[in-house]
Amino acid sequence: MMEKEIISSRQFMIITLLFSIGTAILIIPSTVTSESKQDAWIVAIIGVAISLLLVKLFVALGNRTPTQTFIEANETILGRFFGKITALGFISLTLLSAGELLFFIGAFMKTEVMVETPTMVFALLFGIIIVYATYLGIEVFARSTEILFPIFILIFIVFVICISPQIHIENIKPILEASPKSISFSMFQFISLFSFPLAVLLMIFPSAVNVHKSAQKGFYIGSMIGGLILIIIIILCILVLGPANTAARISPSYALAQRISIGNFVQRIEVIMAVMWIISIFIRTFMYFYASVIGIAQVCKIKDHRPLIFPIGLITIGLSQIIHPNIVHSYTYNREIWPLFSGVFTVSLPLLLLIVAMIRKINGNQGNTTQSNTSSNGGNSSQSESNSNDENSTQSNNSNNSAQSDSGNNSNNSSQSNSSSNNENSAQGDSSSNSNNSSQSDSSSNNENSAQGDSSSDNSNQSDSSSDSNNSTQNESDTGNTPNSDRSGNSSDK
Amino acid sequence: MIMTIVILLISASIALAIIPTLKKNKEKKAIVIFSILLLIGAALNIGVSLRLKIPSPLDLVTFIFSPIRDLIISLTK
Amino acid sequence: MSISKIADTSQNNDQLYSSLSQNLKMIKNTLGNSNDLVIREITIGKAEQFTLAIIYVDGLSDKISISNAVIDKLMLDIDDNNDAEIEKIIRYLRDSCLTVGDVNDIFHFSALYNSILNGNTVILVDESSTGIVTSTQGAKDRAVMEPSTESVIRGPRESFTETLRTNTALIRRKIKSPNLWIKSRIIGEVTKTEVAVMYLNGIANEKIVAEILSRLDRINIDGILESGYIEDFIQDSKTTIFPTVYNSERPDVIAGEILDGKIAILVDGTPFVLIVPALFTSFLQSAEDYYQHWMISSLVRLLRFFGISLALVAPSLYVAITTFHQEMLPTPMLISIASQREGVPFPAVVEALIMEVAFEVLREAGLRMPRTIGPAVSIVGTLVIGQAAVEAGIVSAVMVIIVALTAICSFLFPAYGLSNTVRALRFPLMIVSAIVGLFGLMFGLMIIILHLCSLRTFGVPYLSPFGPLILQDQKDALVLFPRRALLTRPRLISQKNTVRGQKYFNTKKRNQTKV
Repeated sequence: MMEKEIISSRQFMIITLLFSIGTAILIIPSTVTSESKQDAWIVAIIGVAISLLLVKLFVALGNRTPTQTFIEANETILGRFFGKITALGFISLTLLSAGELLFFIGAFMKTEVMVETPTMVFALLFGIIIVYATYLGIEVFARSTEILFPIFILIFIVFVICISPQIHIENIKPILEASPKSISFSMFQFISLFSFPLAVLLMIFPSAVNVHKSAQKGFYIGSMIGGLILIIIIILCILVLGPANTAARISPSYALAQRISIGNFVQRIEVIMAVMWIISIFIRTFMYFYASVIGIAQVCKIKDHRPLIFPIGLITIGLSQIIHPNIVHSYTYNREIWPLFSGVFTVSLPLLLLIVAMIRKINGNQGNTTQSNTSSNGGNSSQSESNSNDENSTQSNNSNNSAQSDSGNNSNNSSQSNSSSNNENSAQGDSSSNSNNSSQSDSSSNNENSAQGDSSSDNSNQSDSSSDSNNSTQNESDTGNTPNSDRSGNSSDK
Repeated sequence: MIMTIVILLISASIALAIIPTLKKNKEKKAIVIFSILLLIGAALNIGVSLRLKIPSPLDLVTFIFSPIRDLIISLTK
Repeated sequence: MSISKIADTSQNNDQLYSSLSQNLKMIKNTLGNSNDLVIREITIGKAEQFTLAIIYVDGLSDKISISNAVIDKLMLDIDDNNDAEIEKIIRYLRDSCLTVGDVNDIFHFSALYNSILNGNTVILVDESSTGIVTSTQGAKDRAVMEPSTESVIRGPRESFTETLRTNTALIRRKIKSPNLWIKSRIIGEVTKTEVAVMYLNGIANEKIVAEILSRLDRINIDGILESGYIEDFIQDSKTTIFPTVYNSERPDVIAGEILDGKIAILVDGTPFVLIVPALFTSFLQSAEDYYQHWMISSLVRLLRFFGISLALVAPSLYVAITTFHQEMLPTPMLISIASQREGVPFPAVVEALIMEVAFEVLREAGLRMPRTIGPAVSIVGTLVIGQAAVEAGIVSAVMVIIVALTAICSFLFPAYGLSNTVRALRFPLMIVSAIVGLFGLMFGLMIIILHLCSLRTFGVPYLSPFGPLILQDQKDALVLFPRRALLTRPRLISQKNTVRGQKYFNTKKRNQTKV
């Protein structure tokens, strides 16, 4: 039985962040520097800006089909036959990428860290983690990312601090020496590695996140911060290693980590830095794999995707060993074919879907056809649902407004009116940044929901997982919740 | 050779673990898809363990996209 | 056990006979003529026309109160009602004569057996099939002493005992609120153990309470001897090695948890009280944290967390680094370790496994050792085995240090349940890191993290407030904030009533008078 799994928008932001970093943190410096040399950082900055446009496209598409994943949206928008074909193409992209990432982990570990271990071992172990995580579900995965994220940030900050003494500022001069052609070429490469894959997040974007507005914001913020981290890494690579050195290596960040030496004592601790990369690669591989599993299940109209996890895992692990015979092949592929292949399915396909959806007036919610420009409204309506809790807390109507103006979000609407299981929870989630909102306007239902979310709907079934979604929804959406207590803590006369 | 047997054992145990529950729920489509995928996976892994030369699917992708790539390169030169 | 509860447990097919001699014969037969069963037959009434039998079990009942409140009153102070009927006599005895606190009627044998086996006294009257049960429990129980497993430097020194009533009283002494409710059940076909559930109404989540009671009702077992049995049944069904139920011997700990909105389960016969739902952070905290200065407590908590992580990964780190990643050690240290390991014939992982297993054996043996032999064996264990093993070249000195460090760190946990888990998890981690180095260690830790993230206890995610990151609860999770900042209860546990000190009577706001 497949229950709907819900993650909170904060978790989605973290996933976006770590997903966009992915393998890019290891290989992007070299691909970008090879063409633009020391201006790679300019490329990165422009690239991140452009990727925000791409995110806007994804968000717009997500708004059209808010309760469906990307694969389902294909069939809804393009009809059953063409939809299935494009969906299969997309799935082939994600599955091959998952295999590719397993290959990359194996090759990287074997080359740099543990030379004598066969790559299959790494691929197998990593594959086991991914399969286990998929088996446990995306909620559990999201929770684990919330735990891994501080570790990542901590290691990253330590990394930046430790490597800074070795900066040679002259490595970045002369600035703007590269020609526009090479800058645009590098930018294309950058975007293909950084932002094209973000389309995969459409598999969870509107459908699995409980609050639509904050999810959009999370999408933007996540990719921005991810881009920022990449920019910092690129700058550091150029400053410390120099452009030629950076371009020559496959993974220059690793070389950066190898150079850390503090007081002649803390040296060669690159393996600890590798933890950082393993975390981001884990997130990315999981998302590809999860997208493939869910995609195949949805294309074949199978209700429960869990039996499929093991065979697909087996295929992925086997794929990782044959997908690239050597790292040069992988490098060539990433430079030349990947931008085209992924561009077709992650940019032109969503664009096509969006256009067709606009033509066919598919809006994702029964009857609310007036809100076709929800994405642009998203910005507006979000202000009524902003982070200023106190404001919102007094305006229970406001929540209704924003819910309706964002009609594309099915869950938002019904959250205020009906009380079917999921939607109830999304009512909770609706207030993730304005928990006060819902808590004030219908505080009784808040409590009800929270009590509900804590246990199962009616029966005492906490031991079973059948109502896990309910539980988790409450709990996940509670993460952003600054609940009653704060409010009553502030206004002590309550 | 040993790895092949191990892979076959693992595949068989996965099948044994999952197919009965699927049969109980009468999901024929799921059983079919599951078996197909399992067979592909097992065959692939056995091929890898026997070090057979299996062509990479990316070569197919490269083949499909190489006209476009050549086109773009010729345009930007 | 309260008398009314006993009446509830009777079945319908074993009613008392009218004839006293038949009843007595039945009772003696059923109990096999056990010689701690005392049956005193007396006659009352002016013409000695009513025959009564007083039945109790020696050892379980308070003989003084039986003699004073029951037999005395029956024999000496009874009025002379010459021609009263039997039923009126019984009512008279029950309502006007006996001076015991708790009396009730019983009609069935099963209720009779339950009563006398709980230390109560049953009075049967000839020619009536109604019996009277009076509460006279008075078995000897252990005095309230210092806790044996959880000692603190500063804080109360009471500990629970094996008697349920004493334990509930100890908690009531700490929480004098009328909202502290007790719901009890009798579990165990043969042992008929009383299990009580205590919680603060209005703060604890009623759905969890209802869930607990329903799970207790579903238990179908011969006997409950310790709260550990209940723990097994109450836990969520997911198989995991991590404890999801917290237990403690100290009333102040339990009272603190009840104030947080958690629910205590007391089992007659054991001083260990269960607390549900238990999150991962409960096991990191100790009662003493709240009695000392918050800065000290925060540092100590961080130390504890660090120590536990060390206990989990130290041997694996050693194995991984010396086998795969020697470049991470500073060169002088590397040279000295290499020279130590030179004479050792085993690879690092075998050495580590030998030492760890040896230490676990020592630890388990040390628990059962008579006190007189204890010191001698510990000297043998530490000096002889450790030192001699190093000198014989079986293990290296570094390994002994690591094992000792691990062992001491695993005692940092105030709660025993989680330290057992850590002990157990050390071994798979060691093996994995021996195969694939630090990557294997990371693999093992990822699996553990994923598993922890998937656990829920009674609907609350196990890793809150880290898993779903609840910023508001961070003030009491890993570090401790000053008391004036601890204004709210953990949010996912007590969802309705999260502000401490709030007036939380259900309907109206009543002003509590400050005493």
